[in-house]
Amino acid sequence: MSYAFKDFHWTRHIPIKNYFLPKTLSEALNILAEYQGRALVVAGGTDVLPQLRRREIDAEALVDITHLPDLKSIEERGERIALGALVTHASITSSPLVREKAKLLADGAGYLGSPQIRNIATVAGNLVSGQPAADTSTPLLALDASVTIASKDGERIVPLTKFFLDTGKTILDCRREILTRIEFNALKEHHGCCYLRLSQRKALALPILVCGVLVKVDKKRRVIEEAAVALGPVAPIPFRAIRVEEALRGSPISKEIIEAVGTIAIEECNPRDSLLRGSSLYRKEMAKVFVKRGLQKALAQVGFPVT
Amino acid sequence: MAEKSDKKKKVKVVTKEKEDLQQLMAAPIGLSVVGQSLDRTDAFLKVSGKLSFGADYPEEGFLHGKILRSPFPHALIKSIHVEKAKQLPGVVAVLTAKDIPGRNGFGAILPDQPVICGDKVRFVGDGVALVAAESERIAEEALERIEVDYEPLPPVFDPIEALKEDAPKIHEKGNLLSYNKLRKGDIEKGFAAAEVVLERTYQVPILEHVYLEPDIAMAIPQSDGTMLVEGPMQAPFTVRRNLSAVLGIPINKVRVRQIHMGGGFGGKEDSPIDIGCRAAVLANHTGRPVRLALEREEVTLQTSKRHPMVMKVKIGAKKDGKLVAFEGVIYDEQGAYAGLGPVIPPAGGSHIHSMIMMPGPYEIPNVKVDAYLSYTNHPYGGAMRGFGAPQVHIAHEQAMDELAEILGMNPIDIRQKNAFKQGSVTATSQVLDQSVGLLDTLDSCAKAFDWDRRYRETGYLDKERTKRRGVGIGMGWYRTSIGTSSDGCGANVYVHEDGSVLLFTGITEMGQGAFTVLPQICAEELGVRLEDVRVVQPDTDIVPESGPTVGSRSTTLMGNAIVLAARQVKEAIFEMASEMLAVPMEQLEAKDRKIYDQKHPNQSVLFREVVAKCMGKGKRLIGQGWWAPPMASLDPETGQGNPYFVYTYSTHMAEVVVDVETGEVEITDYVAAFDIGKAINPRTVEGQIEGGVAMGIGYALMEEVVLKEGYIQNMNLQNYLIPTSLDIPDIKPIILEVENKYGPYGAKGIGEMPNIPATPAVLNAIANACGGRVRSLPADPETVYWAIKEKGGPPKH
Repeated sequence: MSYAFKDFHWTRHIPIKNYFLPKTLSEALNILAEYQGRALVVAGGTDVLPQLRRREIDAEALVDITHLPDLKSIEERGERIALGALVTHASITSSPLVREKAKLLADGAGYLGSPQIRNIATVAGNLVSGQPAADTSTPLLALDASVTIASKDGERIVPLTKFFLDTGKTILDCRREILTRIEFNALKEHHGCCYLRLSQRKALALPILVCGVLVKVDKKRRVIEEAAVALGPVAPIPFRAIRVEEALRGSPISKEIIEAVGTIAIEECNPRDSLLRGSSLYRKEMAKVFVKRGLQKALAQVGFPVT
Repeated sequence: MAEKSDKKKKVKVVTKEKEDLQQLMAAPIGLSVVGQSLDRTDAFLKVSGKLSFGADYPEEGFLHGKILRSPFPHALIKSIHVEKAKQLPGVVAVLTAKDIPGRNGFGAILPDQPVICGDKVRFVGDGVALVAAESERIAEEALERIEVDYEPLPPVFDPIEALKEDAPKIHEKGNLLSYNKLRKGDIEKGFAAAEVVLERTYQVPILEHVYLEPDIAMAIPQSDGTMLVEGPMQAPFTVRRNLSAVLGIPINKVRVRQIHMGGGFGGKEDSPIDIGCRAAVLANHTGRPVRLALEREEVTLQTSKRHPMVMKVKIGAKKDGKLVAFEGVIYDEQGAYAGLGPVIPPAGGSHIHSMIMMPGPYEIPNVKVDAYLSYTNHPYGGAMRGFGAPQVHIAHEQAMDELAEILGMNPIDIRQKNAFKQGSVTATSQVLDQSVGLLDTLDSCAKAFDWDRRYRETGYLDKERTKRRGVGIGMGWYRTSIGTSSDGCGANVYVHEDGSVLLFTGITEMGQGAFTVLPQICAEELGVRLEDVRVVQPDTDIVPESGPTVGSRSTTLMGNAIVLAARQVKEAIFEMASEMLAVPMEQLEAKDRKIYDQKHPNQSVLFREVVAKCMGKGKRLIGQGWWAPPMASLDPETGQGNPYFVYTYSTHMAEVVVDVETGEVEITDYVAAFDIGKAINPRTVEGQIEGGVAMGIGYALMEEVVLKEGYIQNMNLQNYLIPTSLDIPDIKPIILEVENKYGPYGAKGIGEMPNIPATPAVLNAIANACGGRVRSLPADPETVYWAIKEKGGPPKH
């Protein structure tokens, strides 16, 4: 039983020595390089500042990227939608484009925290924090998102399915790199989608379970052409339930298949017992219920109510 | 009532406390200030953000105090080294147990909590050293430099385990802090006569108050050796008593001054003693003002909590639902220190209150309750809106529903059959001879809620059979006093030459509306307007003793003291007005800043003119009132007596929708009816009802201090959940007024009552909706889900 001093003592004071407001991406990357891992990128700050205050992380300097140009746009680019790194949850929930063509992301972003937090917390930050319960991760996973990561060595584009490594850990090094852009599929008419969330109260609560579902149907043949099902926090990282998706692909729309994949979903989950947010067993049971309900809701949207 | 009031209207001016209480307190007619939903006196300042709380005060000139805390739930302190901390520039003092000038112990009832622990620590967060430094940052750094060697001891975290012989001893006197019993009738005969017997165990967790404003204390040494302590607090006189002992100075050298308070809910009865004493010790040592402000996590870690309990209930009834016997056992967990748990004779302290309330507001001829209060290595239990009553209501109200189910009775019928009415005899053999409106609340609540129809129509809402609707009832009662000799209340009323009035009381405003309701009573008595009366912030140097602001007692007890004080002044004023108008005194009436002849209402003189004249002639315009309720009694062996002089009664009804696949609960409708004697300010009463119900819903559905091996897992508000506005339905409040002959205008208390039956009403509704009975709180989605499974799955239809 080892408990650190910091577990029982709190400070208002955040011990950083420097705070930078770079005007360009290369300036920001240079500062990070100069500090050799001792500086940290901050945008909305809703995750970073509490962590600094609780001394869960430490940094000598913060590199505030909110003054970087061209990172606040939400744009449609062909079949994809692109978000700049500074797009907040509030702007996602109110964006007509996202509401029309990626409703599940707008819904997910609307659940995060409180209005005050949604007004400053960025979607990019939500991903970078790497929490399995993040409200935009599962919708973006379902939407086949990819992220652009800038470093001194240049840019790389990584699919979101390869982005998360472990709880609180991603392939991005936020002391050297900056996530600059998020891209994901724009949905079309034959897509049904939804975001479902289970929590202990209706607002401002970390979820027990989140589920992003996307289906594409062949209306003539009454067949599910494609399905994407993403789940969190029922494993160390948010993930796509691949075996559920495989079972759905090409399957005729029926009550039976929806019940059957719920059971597969249970097998794909590996949640921990949490004293605060439910036992492993309960969350597995809920994964089944939510995958079923998510599919029902998404299918109903495209004209196939299954009950 | 009208006849009596007519008599009353012939203003009988009373200066002697010995006057007949009934006559004194009878309600006059034609009230102009009392009974009105006037705007709260603090509303504008609060909503505009202009009101300064402690954290808004300038910090210049203050040293910053910090507490070094124990990282172990139970350990011996082998040594403490503070030298490295002292060497840090900006550190002014680092204190350990040996530096306490007086008694190294504080507590609202028993002073068993060390100001600074000397030889051992008893919970995670116990204070082992105090630091004062020029800045908060330096103080924090100093804490890290203090070296403490601990020898961990085996801890105990369960109130029943703690009573076993081989349990680790937390205090020298052992772990049983208090054992109380209640014996009425013949319990064996009672159960022998019963045709149905129900036995159940219910369990409730530790709760945090979550007052919005974290605790703060400022200790400012005065040049004459007096110690001034300022802060938001519910019990300034209790703080003063502790400061005097800890500093080793007489009470008249301690001054405690109240500042605006951002919520208390009972929690700021204990915690200001704790941080007040610690700030004062630092201020005393350094000779400089010290500010001690807690962060949210520190509030959760360090301050008092609602007592967790294991409650065993056995109820015997006849087939027609008439109760014949009740047996209860309470294992009440006090935590590391005595807090507000132990008995203050005859009927004070939360533990004995739980025992008294446990059988519920029902007539039961044979009752036996055994109540054990144990020390454990958890945070300590104090007062929280209901003071031991919410817990036992959760037990008896669920048991009543479970019994009704066995008997095949409608839950309101079994209550109708057994509920207190005028003349009923309680479990302590107290005869309820007046102001008993419980059945009125049941009737009006059932009518407004449309109980009979809704109870019949519970069932699934959707064809997929996932959402099921149900209804639940909770009944309750609550005292209007604390049941000890500290119930006496003093008030001073000063009328100034311009007709403006100062009201001095020791009752504190914590958001409940005391600073609106108390001056309303004063204004009514004097015949002035609410805005003419200013309430002075309690300051132990200048306001009379009033006891603590707890027990739903302020409006009634302090209200009476204010009436008495105001009538003393009124006597002088009427004498003068009688001369001025050439009208006999008993023919005069005071209203809306005028004094007039009742027979010729055009004949009047302005209040301020009479007052100015009184002043000119050297008449007394200072009133001092004192009122204490009829003395409480309770036999320590049998628990029989009259513990509290009057009770508020209530019935709640809730409708919920349960998602039977996930266990999620949504409260879709709510009606709550109260007999409060008289609503001095109906809108403020409604505010109390809505806030209290919301708090009771939180207890039912989500609140719990989660502990693992003595360590709190949810110290901040990200993880300690209370309901948001989205979780609370529209609440329909119903106010009934069954006159209390011992209350000002007939008033009884309302502060705590609304919170109490809310929790079981919701739990009963959940059980009605889905079949799952949650006997160990909270009824969060997972708990409800397993309760449904335990019942064999959701209902078929």
